[in-house]
Amino acid sequence: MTNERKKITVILAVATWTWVGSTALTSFGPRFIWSEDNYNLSALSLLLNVILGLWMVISLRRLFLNFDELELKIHLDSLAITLGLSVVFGMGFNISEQIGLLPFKADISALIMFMSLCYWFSLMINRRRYL
Amino acid sequence: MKNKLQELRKNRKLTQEQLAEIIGVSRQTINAIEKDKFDPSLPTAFRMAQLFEKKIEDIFLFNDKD
Repeated sequence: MTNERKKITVILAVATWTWVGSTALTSFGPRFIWSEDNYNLSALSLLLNVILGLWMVISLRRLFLNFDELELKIHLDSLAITLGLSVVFGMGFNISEQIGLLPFKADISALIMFMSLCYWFSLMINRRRYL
Repeated sequence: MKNKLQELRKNRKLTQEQLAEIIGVSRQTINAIEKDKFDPSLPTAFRMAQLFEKKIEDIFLFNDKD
């Protein structure tokens, strides 16, 4: 791994974890840290969350621009599979809740977890295919 | 697509790592090209052709079935 790649990866990791932290702060802050009536702090926390989220997206894009052609192919292929499966299963998940097939509430976090697992498995399969 | 990259690289006494650095790709990409698992982009193929002083079609053997 080149020094530039290491730097980009570290920045992406920092951006991702601070975004995860700010998501937790925005979700639980109004209940456990400040009063739910304090809309200013909640709005500020949400704004911080969005800014950190954008930083994460920009960092991810920088990593993609640093990939060479094979790495790019592996990641784009994995992203395509993840996007396709997420749309299909996400819709199925949502519909199954609407028609009462799900015994629990269809939460967005379940979709994010599903997408993460899809991306990880697709990456492993594609890496095995090309490397 | 079949290619003669490994043969040309060995004739020049280059390692995959060294060739990757000259061409500007990762060592894994050179390895995948040599094993016919991945076809390089046109700019990469041109860089290889320039390096080995060959025509692209002398390095990469195009088969319409690929």
